Amino acid sequence: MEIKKSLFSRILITVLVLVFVSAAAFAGGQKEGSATQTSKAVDARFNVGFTTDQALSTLIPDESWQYMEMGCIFWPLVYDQLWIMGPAPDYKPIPMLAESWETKDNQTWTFHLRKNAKFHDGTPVTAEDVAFTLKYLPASDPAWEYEDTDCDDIQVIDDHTIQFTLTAKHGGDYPPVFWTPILPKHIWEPYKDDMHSYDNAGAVGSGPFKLKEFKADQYIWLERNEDYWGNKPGAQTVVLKTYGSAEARNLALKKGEIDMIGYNGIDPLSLSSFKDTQNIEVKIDPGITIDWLSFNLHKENAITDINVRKAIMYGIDIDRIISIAYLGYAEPADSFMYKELPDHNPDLPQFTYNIEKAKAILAEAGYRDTDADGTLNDPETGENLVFELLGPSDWTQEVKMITLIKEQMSDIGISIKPKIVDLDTFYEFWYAPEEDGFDISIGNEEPGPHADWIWEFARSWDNGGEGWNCAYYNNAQFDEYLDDMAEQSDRGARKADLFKMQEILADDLPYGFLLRWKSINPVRTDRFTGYTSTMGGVSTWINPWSYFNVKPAE
Amino acid sequence: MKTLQFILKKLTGALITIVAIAIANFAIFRIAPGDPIRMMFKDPRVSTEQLQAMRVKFGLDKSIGGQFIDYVKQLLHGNLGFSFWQKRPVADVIGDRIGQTLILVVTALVIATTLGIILGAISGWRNGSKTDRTILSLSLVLYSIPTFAMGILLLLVFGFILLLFPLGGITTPASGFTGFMYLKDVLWHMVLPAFSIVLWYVGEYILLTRSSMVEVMDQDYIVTARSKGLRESVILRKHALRNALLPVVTLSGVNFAFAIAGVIEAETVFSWPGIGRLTYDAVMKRDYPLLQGIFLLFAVSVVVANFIVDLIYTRIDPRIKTGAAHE
Repeated sequence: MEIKKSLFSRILITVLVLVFVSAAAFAGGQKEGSATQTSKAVDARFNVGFTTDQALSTLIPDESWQYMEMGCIFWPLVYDQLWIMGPAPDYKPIPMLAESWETKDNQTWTFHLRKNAKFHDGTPVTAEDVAFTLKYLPASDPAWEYEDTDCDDIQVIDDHTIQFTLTAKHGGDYPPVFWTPILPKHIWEPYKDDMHSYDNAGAVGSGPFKLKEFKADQYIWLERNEDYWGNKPGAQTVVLKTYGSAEARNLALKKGEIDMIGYNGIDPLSLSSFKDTQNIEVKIDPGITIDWLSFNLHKENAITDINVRKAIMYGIDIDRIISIAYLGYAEPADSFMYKELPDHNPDLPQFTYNIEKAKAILAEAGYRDTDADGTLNDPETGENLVFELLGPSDWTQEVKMITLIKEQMSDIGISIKPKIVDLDTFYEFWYAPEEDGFDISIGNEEPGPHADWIWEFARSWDNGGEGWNCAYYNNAQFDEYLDDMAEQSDRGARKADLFKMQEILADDLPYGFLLRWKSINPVRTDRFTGYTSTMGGVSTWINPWSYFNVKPAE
Repeated sequence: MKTLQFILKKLTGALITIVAIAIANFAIFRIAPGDPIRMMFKDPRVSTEQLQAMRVKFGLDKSIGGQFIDYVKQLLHGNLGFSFWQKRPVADVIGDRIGQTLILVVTALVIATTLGIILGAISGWRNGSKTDRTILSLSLVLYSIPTFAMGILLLLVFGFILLLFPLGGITTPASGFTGFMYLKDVLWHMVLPAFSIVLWYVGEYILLTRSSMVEVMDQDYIVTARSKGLRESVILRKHALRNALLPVVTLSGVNFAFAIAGVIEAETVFSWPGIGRLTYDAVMKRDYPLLQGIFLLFAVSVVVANFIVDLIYTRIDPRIKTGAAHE
């Protein structure tokens, strides 16, 4: 008994001492943490939560500013653009560094810069900085190369006037040079030929927020730019934080550690846990992402038969997919163009779920189950209609969708083999249809309201389409309409082109459009008000407005 | 003299192992499917020329033989190469993360080992009792819960419901803490991730110490010690536990090395910016130089840990050094 007593008493004492020491040591930390978590926004600190896989590892202006969620939120806060797309519902172009612009022929554009804009280090922003950015940034990384920044000539007229001669005419409702951060020449000049060689640790821009601290993969701490030329944001500090999982990030919102979710909101399954939560308002906005199927027309199998693709589209019960995988928070899509926009063609053929029609199309095209194994056979090769359906494991809703499509396709005699890979591998397969890594693939993009670029997904492979074209699609007529649309300044002619393009795609079916999922965003209303909704929710690549507009709650 | 010989022999073995692993490292990642240069670009419009320029920049345009020669040359100069993904030297990338993993792993393992030995010793000493059964059941349960699940549970209970600890990260973002306040903040953030690792490892230590103790308790020298009239506590500490600890020491060394590589789940759940999470990202990005660097580090830590265990063994059990155990 002696041993038991002495050992237990020692362990007990040790544990008590440890608990006491830890409690004493952490008491301070806990207080600081909870102070930032539960009190009103005393220092107007606006906290926004991301997951670790959305975080930035460097501040180099490479494609992570386009493709990483934290990247495309970060730079529009720190860097100015010539103009910016306004918020919903009009999404009008709003002057930013450029006060005004004009063009006579849609090819040569003159921008007049405001005179009171300064970089965060106090240096004035001039036309030289704009010219420098346009010359070197697109050349540094393909992610910055767009038709509307591709110039034959750039002339600095004076300190505050610049003239671009574009390689091709630029029509439409928006001026050129969309979504491009203006970099300070005096900092970037030594690295102009290899912009990846400078870590940009100070991230000097001219935007409404200044960088205070960056911790790779952890957080970005921004302070309001008190010398900003325009309206100063209501939040004095913005902190973009990361969490290990969506679950931890959601808990952080409920706890008050963050005020808003940084990108794509929450998934529909998590919605019920936010309903009726004190101090939280759930905003549900139209989605920005359109999901579709890419059919690989490079494959030498039945997927190149338009009848098979049509049958697949008629065989997909999109309402059931929306109801099961998205719990109703999505709507069917039939084009790259959102249905509420005036350029959406309302007369496109609809592939409304019709299993008998799907079977009839296949039967008429000669597909029969000749070996009685439940799967139809190709009339030419005799092989079973078996298709690999590619998708990334990271897109959880889409993975559910793949499972449902597999189930639905078996009803019309087509066998689907899901091919689920990690996201980077997915992109490698998806963007290389010529390597035959898939028959059908899930695809999605966030076109936004100003999205001439999205049509490049359908530019003929043999006519410069290699890149975004992930269906190996070729149609010279489509390209003609596309080129004309890009140059057209006449509203009616442009609309006619877009209508025709949508019609061609619906007839040729290189892509089978599926759905557009809604954005579900819970936000804290006890600390901040003024959240701004656009399509895609309160925080997306087209929407930095919440960051500009939020104000501490009274 | 024998000690020196022993150390030299072990050192030579360790060096040969490291060289072999460094060579294997080069081959393994090149077998994995996927083009690392293509994976550097999410934008599909990257041109063939741009891809080729990147290949030349990173030496991937050369034959496998040429790449291997470059790799060996770099290693001999103490250079681990340049990360494709982070676009900076591998040593810097690893250097930024290693300290954060070490502090987490060392703290967690020291606590897990100490607790495991104490509870295992009690359990083994009181073999078959109610206490033994309780500790045994507890350790089996802990050992079988995945770190990931345990992590989420800890976050929910201690981070969210009880509001005692933060929901992730290594420091309070944008706190501006320095000095002692910073240290305190890091410790506060470390409690839950460390606790999740402790819970995972403590079960293993309890089970091992317990079975080792049970085995030792039947030995003649324990009976002798008892017949000499020694106090139970002295027998437990000086006779039983010291001998029962031998396998635990081996496990500690191996565990330390594996824990550096194996804290991926804990680092992921708690967004702890360490080597584990870096490894996952590097695999996803097919960042050969970074992967080679990380795996070389893992290999070196396993070899070094084993070397240290061998040295500690000679202290605990002098028969090892002299080879008396086999004589």
